[in-house]
Amino acid sequence: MMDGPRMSLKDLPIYCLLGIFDYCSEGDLLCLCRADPALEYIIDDHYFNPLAYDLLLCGHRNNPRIEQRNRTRLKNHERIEVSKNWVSGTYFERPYFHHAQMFPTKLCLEADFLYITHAGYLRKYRRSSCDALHRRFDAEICTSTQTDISDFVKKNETIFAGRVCGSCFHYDTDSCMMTEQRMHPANEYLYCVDFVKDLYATSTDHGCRLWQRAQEFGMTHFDQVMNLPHAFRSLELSSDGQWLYGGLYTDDDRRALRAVHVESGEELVFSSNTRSIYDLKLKDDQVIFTANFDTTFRMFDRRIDRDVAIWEDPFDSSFYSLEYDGLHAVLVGTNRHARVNLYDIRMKKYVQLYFPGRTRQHNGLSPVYSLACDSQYMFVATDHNLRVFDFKASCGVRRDYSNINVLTK
Amino acid sequence: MPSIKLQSSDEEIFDTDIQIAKCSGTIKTMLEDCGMEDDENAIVPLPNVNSTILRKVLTWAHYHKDDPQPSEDDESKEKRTDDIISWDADFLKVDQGTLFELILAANYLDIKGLLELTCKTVANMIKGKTPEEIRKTFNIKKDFTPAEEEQVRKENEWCEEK
Repeated sequence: MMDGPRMSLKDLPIYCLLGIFDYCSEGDLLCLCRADPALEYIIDDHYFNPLAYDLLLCGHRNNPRIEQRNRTRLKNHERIEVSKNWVSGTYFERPYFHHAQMFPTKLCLEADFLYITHAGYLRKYRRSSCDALHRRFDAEICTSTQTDISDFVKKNETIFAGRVCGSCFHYDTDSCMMTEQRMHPANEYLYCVDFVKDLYATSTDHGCRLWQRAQEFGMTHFDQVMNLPHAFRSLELSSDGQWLYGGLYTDDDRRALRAVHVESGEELVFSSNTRSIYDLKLKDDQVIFTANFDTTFRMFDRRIDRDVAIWEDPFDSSFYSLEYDGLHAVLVGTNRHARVNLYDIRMKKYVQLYFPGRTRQHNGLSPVYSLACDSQYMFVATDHNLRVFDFKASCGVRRDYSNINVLTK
Repeated sequence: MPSIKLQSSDEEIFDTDIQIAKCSGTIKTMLEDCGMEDDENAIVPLPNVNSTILRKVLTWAHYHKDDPQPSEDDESKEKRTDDIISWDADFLKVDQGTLFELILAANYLDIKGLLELTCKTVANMIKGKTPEEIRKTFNIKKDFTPAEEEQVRKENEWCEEK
């Protein structure tokens, strides 16, 4: 051991270094990370990695769905810091794409692009390393129909969008093939769409239809396979395409959550005590999140046919939109003040509230029409613009409303 | 009092009280498993520890021979670094090379108390220092190019304490 040059810290084996790091605080470890890349690798892998498993919006256990939306893979110590910022309400907010005309925008976030609707067009904006989004769009996807787009879904290379007039278009981003087809009469208002493989679902204020996509001579068309008398405000097909889950716009019997077996047409009326569902997302094959008119956000479990958790909004606002990170965090957009609530589904109370700032033109009374997030950014679609919250910005300001009820008492 | 012979990597023999030698889990296991305890002429080879370090280890072990054995509960205790007694602090006033070799030796010989003490001492050298000060203290060469350094600084700017 005494032979050769004297030992240095970096010559110690990992298990000895870990013995030293056990006595260091998180701040000291971060300084060590910045001092040397080899030490950073060891600390990040052995110390921060297990701490980052289940973080809200930044956790990496089982590679949750939010990871697919992240532009870059965060280091574990970055995950811890960013998650703390989400929880403490520390962020930098910036408005994008102001429109004079009010519109319920829909969003779809991918690692490299954000897809955003406004009126009759769907635009694709590139995400960059220095800014949340490019100000100029990369592509505009539109057809000869000018009617407003009310909902769209993008999966792999396929975009399926529905217009309020009942006309829907199918767009393949690879081949740039566009097909538009009227799927509902013009006197109905189309609420929502979804698809899995070649099975497509559309719903209006009058009813819901299922379609099979077929291709003949290079042309795409949709054949109706089911017509349901349900006005789903929000719907989602299960990943295997076996079940259609829908939330009714209104059900006087307070049983708005339904499921329909796609092949047999068998309908299940779930015992979720809600009158109206504005948004719905599948947690997994058995558990469904719903954003409800009755100021609740619910977690429903099919296996026991009941809501296993119900969270109420602290200001009695209805919930309009939902976003789920794939682990424990759910962001829910409310119908007032463009407010977004962050919930940890393991806890009874909300974790944080985010209030977008007021702008000169608008006093911030807008609902949150659509929400999208990755580990670093939250995109909030309000009636006039898009608000982007950056939780990793160096100039982030802390706006902690986690105890707002206590503060107002 | 029975004694035992320990042989360092540079083949120096240390005639040591058996109870002091047994503060090392490694030596204790060797003595018990190989039946060397009753053989006065038996030599325990320690090929991973040189004579300078072994001498230091035995000095520490001699001073702490009456200390209670660390229990399993100690692991769940709060990790403090401000509880080093003055004798230990003086004992570890050595150059960094020796300190790191003591860590390796304590780890090889399975001497929990000495390992904790040396790790705490290094941790105290890290605590409260900036990355630049840490590099200076431990003579770590910058593995970042100026551009990478700037990149790291920018990347970490957002989480630096305000």
